[in-house]
Amino acid sequence: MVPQDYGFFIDPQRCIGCRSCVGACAECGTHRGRSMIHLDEMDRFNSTQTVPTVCMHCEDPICAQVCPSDAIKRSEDGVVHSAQKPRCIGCQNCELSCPFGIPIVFSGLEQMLKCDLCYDRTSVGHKPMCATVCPSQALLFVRKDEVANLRKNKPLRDFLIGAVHVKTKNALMVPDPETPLHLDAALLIDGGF
Amino acid sequence: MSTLPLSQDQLRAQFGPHLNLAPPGGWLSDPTPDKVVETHCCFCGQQCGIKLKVKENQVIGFEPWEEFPFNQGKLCPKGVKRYLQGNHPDRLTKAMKRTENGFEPMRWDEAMERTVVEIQRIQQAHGKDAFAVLSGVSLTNEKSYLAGKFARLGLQTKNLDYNGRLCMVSAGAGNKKAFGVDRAANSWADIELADVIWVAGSNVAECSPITTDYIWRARDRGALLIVVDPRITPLARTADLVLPLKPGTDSALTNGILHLLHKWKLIDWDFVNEHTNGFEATLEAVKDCTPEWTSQITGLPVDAIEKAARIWGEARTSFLLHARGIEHQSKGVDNVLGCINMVLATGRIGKPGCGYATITGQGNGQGGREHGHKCDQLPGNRDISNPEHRKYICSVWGCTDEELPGLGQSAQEIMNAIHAGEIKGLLLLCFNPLVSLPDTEFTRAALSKLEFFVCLDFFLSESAQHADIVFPSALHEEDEGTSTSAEGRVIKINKAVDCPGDARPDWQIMVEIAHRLGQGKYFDHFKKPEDIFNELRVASKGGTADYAGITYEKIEKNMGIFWPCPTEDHPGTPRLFEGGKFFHPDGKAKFNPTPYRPPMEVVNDDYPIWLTTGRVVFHYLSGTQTRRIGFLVEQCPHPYLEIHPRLAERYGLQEGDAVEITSRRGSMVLPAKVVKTIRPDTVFIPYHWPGALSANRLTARHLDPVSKIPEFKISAVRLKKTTKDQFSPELAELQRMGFEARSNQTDMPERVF
Amino acid sequence: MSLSDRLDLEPRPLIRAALATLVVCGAVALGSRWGRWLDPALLGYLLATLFACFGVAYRYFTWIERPATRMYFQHTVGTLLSPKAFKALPRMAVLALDQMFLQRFIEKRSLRRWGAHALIAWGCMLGFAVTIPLVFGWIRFTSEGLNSARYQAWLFGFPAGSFPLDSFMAFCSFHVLDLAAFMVIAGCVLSLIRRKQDEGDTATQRFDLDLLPLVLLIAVSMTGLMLTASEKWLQGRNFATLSFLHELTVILMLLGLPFGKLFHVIQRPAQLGVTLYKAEGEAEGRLACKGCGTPFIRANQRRDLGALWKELDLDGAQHGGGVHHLDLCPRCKRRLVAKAQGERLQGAFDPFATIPVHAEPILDSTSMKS
Repeated sequence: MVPQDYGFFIDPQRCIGCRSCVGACAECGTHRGRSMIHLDEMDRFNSTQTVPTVCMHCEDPICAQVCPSDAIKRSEDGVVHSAQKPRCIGCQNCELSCPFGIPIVFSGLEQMLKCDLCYDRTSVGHKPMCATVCPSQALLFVRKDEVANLRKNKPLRDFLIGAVHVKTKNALMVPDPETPLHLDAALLIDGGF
Repeated sequence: MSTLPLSQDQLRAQFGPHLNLAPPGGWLSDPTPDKVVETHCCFCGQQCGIKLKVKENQVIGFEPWEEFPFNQGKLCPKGVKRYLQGNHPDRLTKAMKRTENGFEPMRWDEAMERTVVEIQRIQQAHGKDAFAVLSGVSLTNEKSYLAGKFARLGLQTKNLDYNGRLCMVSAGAGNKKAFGVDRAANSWADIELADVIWVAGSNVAECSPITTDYIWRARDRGALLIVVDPRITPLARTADLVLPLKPGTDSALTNGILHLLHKWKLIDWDFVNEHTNGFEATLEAVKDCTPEWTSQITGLPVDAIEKAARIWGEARTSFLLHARGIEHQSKGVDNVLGCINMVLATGRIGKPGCGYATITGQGNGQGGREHGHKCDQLPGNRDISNPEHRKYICSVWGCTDEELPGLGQSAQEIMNAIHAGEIKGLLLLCFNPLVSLPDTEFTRAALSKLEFFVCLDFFLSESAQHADIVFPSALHEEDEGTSTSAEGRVIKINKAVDCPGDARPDWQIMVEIAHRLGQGKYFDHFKKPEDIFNELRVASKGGTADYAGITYEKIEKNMGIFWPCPTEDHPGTPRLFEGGKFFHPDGKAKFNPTPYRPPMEVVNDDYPIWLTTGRVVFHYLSGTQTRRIGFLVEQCPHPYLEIHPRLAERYGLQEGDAVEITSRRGSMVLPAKVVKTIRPDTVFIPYHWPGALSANRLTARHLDPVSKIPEFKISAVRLKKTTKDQFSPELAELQRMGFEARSNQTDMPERVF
Repeated sequence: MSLSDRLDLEPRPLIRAALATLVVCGAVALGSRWGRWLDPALLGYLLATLFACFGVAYRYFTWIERPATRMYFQHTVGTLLSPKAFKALPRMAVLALDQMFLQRFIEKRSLRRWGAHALIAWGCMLGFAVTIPLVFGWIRFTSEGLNSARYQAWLFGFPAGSFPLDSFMAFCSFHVLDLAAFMVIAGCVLSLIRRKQDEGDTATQRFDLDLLPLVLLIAVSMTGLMLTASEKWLQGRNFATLSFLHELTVILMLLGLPFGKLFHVIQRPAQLGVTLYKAEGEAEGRLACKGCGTPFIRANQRRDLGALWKELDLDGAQHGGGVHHLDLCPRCKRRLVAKAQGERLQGAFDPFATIPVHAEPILDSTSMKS
């Protein structure tokens, strides 16, 4: 059981692209050599901005809804787990449907793996690997009531994709969390890269 | 005659670099450790705490050490994968000699015998000083201290210097001039209390990643961040004000700021009058440094300069950080002093949230530059030319003043003297000059001229390939000792595993050589690192870097002790200069005028583009360790040329195209990385690779007159578009290794994009 | 309120499951010649098997009613009924060999996992292959007349040869279940050891879902082996008690079949369908991401996912400019989050800044020289 008074707070703005999280993710006992976190360059030509992405752990995960084998489960503590090994048939529905681009299907394994909040660590009171090592603390795992003291920005857990609301367990740091964050592709397309 | 016995390919097949991709036994082996050892990362001066998981005398992984106050578990990718340097296929485990057929293992005794005979032969034929020692500051304080004593009393040579000469000496010299002491003025805790943070010439995000969080913590309190750098580094990207100045114009900027501070009456006169000397002369020197003048020199707009001066001048609290960007220059000391002038003029030092520091780069860059590891210095940061200081050290060591050699030559000067045939023999440890010194081909020629070259290393570095005898030495996790972090915090390195094969800690090798040279009386009492540390404590007593009150036990109990710590009941000194008390005899700080002068090499029609060099986050120094770790190589397998699209367009270059870069020293061909995050008149190459891919093929041996640091950061080059078949075989090999690292994961994700 | 509502059962799968169970009952009746060849000692097993059959069928039919599953199920059935099926036959055979028989994908996950799984899987298959025909009365062995040195085998009530009691054939017939039991026990123990060592599994496993099936399988196999031991070396001592225990454990396992982990045996063949689906998609080609232009999603999957999202009431996930969220590749989706956050932060940085955060260094063309 992951302690419910702790939260995961993501602030891509702070990310320095060092890929510590990528290296450390593979070291966690749940992952052993396979990294589940994503670290993307926003657009290296124009900027040094990089984007770290861990699973947001949706309240009603779309990945689970689109899974034909009913293999993706959310435990009571709100963690959405990797596909259950006996069931997953590697169809990639989850990978293509996830609103945030999280799951990875390893083809030879016929299996989807994803960020599971380092369940072996968080379920016994440790922090996830990525958030522990993150040098800039773009990935922050702390008690929820500490965030206001630590950060100027505030946690947002409500995203809008067109008309679809996605509510998440993990939070993104923004100045005005009252308004859901609208993920509109126009930002990528019109705003350039 | 130290030319290479085998081709690069043959040497590579035998000694690497090969990649270590997974922990011992593979990813699916049982990860339960026998024990967990609290120690520190070996890569960089921040010295982050880390716990190493050990099983059957092998390091099998790491666990974050969240209790350690500096990094609280945070680690950069080098720290995360540092454990993979152990149990490595390239590891040296036998003493070796170079023969015509390559390196052959030999008995330890035989290697010792030969080494001692050669040292004696050279010293008898050409004088004691014809044998030099070059060392490094990834060594513990114990080894650094011992290297100094070993060179002076064991080998009786004055020619000892260290690779800190390529790193922190400008900061050290500047700090000593201004403050009378060489240490970060504050612990990093003061960064988060500052209202303005000024970062000059430091790619904090890549070279000292953990410091990023300290800066952000201040920014979350509302602090403003000003970054001075010709490149928009990851931290600069979000800064409140970026000053992308022309390379080599840093002291013009600090002069211009001081000019404005005075003009706008933002000087803290109480502090200046009470606690400093020399302000008048310094003001006089900047009286013509108007914003317009500064703008003309630095290439920055006037309003940006004024904004910076306004923000800095009006701040209540502030922290100024600088690093190699301003220090690796032929006026490195001036640049440092210019920064210090800005700090002193506002009186914001020695108080909570008010501070100044250089971000020391090498693992033990701080501790290693304090205890007689360099040509001009004795333990406790004493001066080798000062009779009082010499007398004290002679009394500690039990030698006479005649036995203690005087001022020797600095690292680059030693290499120059080797090239000139004045120095005939070299003992090299913890240093890879063939990658890290400027003008690579000059260094290679020098090493080939040595009559006898002995090297202590755990991997066969590019420099070690030229050695006659190689002793296998210990990795960081195979020995204990102390080191001193960039903050001035003395910390304890703990032993996790034993050395493999015949490998031994460097200190044991030095003690044995000294003993065999008949100087055992000075060294034979060292049975363990703590013996050396206890002598270091006595030797440093009364010096500025006073370790007298620091014990192993005390360090472990307090998770580090900040020097100076003169007595055992002293808690250490996280913040220096409290109450405006400085270390000069009169207790005052000193302003130093820094009239602007251009770099030693400037661009012209033949070489129209500025070249600057630096690190990437995935590699450490000459890469001897990090170029052998799969994950790190995967992220950054080879160097490249960072170039602005506007400049790239002028040469018809696109992303990935081959470009030939030529300076007055040499040329190289690299793939272009076209990015808008660099000045259009400047290109950048990371420096961690050897041979045809060494950025230092292009850099010059121009030194700062005071600190003797080479001007790595500024060269003039010309570019030429070429074809990809001009890439060196080394580049193809590294590309192959990068691919190997990627595909050698347990499996490949079926990426749908 | 009907019974099915109170049990929260779906009516359609319920009827289908009942039909499936009836079909099995029919097969039992037919195969055992209207019950004549049923072994009375195995009646308990028969009832439990029929229940399990109903349960498994019910769960299977519920499962394929899920919109996402139906998408693949219908596609696979369509393929199987189309002329393409014949052409795909060799490929299907190879796939079945690789995925179902050799289970190579598990080998790639880890060799130890594969070894343990193969032992369990093949032990169970072997066990069921023997016991189900026995329980259904399709096969029986009797002593041949008064000559107790020979055994007579019956298949569907027809004599199917006889063999001497001390022949190799007899040894195999009597001990094939023991072999299966040893395989299952070995596999389960290896699994338990592996689970103990794997920090990830230790953290995520649940007793009821992951460990109980292993424990049950061990119990079934152990009691089965003890029956043999009792008969062979203990002159049948405690045979009745052991027999009861064995029956109990087997019935428990059968009753749990539809609910627990072992159900994956029924689900797994869907993997074949998915592999075919992907191959077809590859043939059709991949569509480009509307964010970055990189081809990523197979055309058939984009169509089917679009329909699926509609069915799941996610159809509103449309961006401006006619871009559906499914048209963005995972990397663009990730970048989009940071991009959106960046937009929100505009102005959240310091008001002093005149040089825009993302601006390129200021320079004019003359500054190419010092």
